[in-house]
Amino acid sequence: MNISLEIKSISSSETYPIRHEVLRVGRPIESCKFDGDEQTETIHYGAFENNNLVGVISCFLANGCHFYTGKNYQIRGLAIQGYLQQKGYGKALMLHAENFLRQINCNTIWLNARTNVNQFYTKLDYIEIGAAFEVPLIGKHQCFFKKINL
Amino acid sequence: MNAYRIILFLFIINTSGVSIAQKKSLSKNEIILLTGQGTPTLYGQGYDLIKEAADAYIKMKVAAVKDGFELKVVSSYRSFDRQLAIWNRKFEINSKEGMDPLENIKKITEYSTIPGTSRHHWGTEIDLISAQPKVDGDVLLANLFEGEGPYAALKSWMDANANSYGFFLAYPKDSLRKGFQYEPWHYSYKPKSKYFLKNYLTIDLKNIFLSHEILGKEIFDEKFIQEYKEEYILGISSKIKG
Repeated sequence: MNISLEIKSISSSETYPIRHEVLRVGRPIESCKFDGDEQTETIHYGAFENNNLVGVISCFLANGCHFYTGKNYQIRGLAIQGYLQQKGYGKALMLHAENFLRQINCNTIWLNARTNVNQFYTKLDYIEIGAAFEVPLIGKHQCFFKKINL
Repeated sequence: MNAYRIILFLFIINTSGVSIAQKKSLSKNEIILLTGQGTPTLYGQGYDLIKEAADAYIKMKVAAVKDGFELKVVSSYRSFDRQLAIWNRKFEINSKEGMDPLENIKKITEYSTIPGTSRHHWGTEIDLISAQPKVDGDVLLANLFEGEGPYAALKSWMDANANSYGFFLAYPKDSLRKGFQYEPWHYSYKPKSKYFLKNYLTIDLKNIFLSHEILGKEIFDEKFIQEYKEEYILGISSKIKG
């Protein structure tokens, strides 16, 4: 069977079911709403496999971590449905978002990753910065960044 | 003493009045920039625009992507030398096909400008398509933006949204408009370009043309240049004239 993956922009509420299933298991659906989801500058992308939404990613215009000058975007809520993980869909979403953010003159992309998936980001040329830290109820995190425009 | 003050006061009013009425004359550097011969500071990844236009374009691009349109700029800032290369190449091709210089120039100016007169020199103009669907070959054809064309949906989105970001079609479909053909892809960032146009109109174009190797320039006499200004340079949407 031919599988076609298509990446399209989606609304914030379309991200909730997948965020819930993958990132907020067993917690109320409200926990899937992120501050800034509805901001004009925020962009949500969905990965569609044969027209079914199977993965999501969100990009927020935000300073933080170690980035306070220039135009910086934080990536949050990258999630792929469990049975489809390890197929490169996460990478496809990351690259799609990066490509768009590069075109809108974003200087740095940064994100807080769970330390158990560090390798995923280092393979995409993200660089660790600062010490790992604990996020209550979720676990240990590490900040990563990538400069995409000087 | 009081009388002196009054006279001084009147003098100030008078001189300021004169300076407003006088045509502002441009600096050499401004002329160089407006004719594409300078080195403006440009912004953008995959496009080159002056700061204000780039910032507005980015806002529009983010809004468009949320509605499912991936905006793609196929042409933005263009230098004098680039326009000269385009012009001379077209002129040579047309000459080989046997066109006389006037015919040749009429043909080129259906879509292309004489070097030094392109709005693309200003860093405020974009030729815009959408990245999807993919189109093979020439993407800047009016029929692609109409009816069932691949860019018709983009055109509708731009019709509804572009103006609110400051972008306006420079050469819209308008039977009263003279000069260049309808260009459904060419948008101008009006908040800056309207001032550039005003300044541009004060430039002595003959000097610019004479000092460059533009093929067919022997045709550019005073009368030709005057008509070119009125019909082509001013053959733009009334919405961007100021």
